[in-house]
Amino acid sequence: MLEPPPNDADLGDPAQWVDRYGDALLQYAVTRVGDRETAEDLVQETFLAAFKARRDFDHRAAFSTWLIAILRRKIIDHYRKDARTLVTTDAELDEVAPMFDRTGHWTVPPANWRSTPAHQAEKSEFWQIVRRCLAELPRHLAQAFELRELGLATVQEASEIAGITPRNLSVRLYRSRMLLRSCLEQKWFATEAVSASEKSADESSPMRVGQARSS
Amino acid sequence: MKERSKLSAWNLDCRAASELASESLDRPLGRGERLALRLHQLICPPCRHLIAQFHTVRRAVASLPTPWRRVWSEESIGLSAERRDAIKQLLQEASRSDEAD
Repeated sequence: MLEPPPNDADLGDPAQWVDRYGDALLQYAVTRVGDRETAEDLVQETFLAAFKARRDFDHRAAFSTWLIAILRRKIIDHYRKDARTLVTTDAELDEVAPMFDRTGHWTVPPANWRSTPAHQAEKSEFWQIVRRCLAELPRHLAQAFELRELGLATVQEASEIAGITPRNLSVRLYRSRMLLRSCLEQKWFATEAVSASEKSADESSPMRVGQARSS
Repeated sequence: MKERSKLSAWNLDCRAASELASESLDRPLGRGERLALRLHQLICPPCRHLIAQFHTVRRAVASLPTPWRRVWSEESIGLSAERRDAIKQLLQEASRSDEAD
């Protein structure tokens, strides 16, 4: 595809960028950093950086994609700074230990999650709970999970950002996934079973146990 | 984590199986690891559930809102009016100082 050479006029008035892309950038940032204030700061930095670098925009990708790429780097920088402030306790604390007995068997066996969030409203609600569960995790574990699962970084990149070895990252990912699934089982799937049986006659209930299989 | 050399299909406990299940999300498992995990799953429903749960969470998180594809229609999030104005102001200042150069 042939694109016209980039110039300022093509990109329009920078103030309009804010109206056109601001909300979408904020959404992207909020879902990845969790905190609204931080997300707004990152969006602001993104627009300013985009303005300074606007002549580098080469039209090979959509302008929106280019903005997201800048925002993604800002988010990663944020994680990197965050990682430096973390006092890590990998060695002494094994958060997963209570989940198993001395023979390596489950103390509370994982349940069969019969339904998975399928509809818009459910997904949104599910995501809120994921967020809440991540907030309860030790920060260094939540960070590992977010970097890896929110499409921000590869395993290699994530370990560099966190300032740890890939092996260590793998341990953190393991612990974060185990704590997260345990939290979700309590907060989402447990209440779901209760509310579904209580409200089985209520058709407006978003819970449809048994409708979607978890595998 | 466990010593991998001691890993065998027949002595994999649930803890080791759960570690392998997590690692399989980040790297391809070796042949022995794959076999051990598969055999363990056959005899262990809780670990089977665990693996399904890992995948459920991954899928759910992967369907998060990306900006140009709104999954999150329920509650769309927007920049606050103050922030919007502040950014516009900053951009205008930047473009004025740019022209002055």
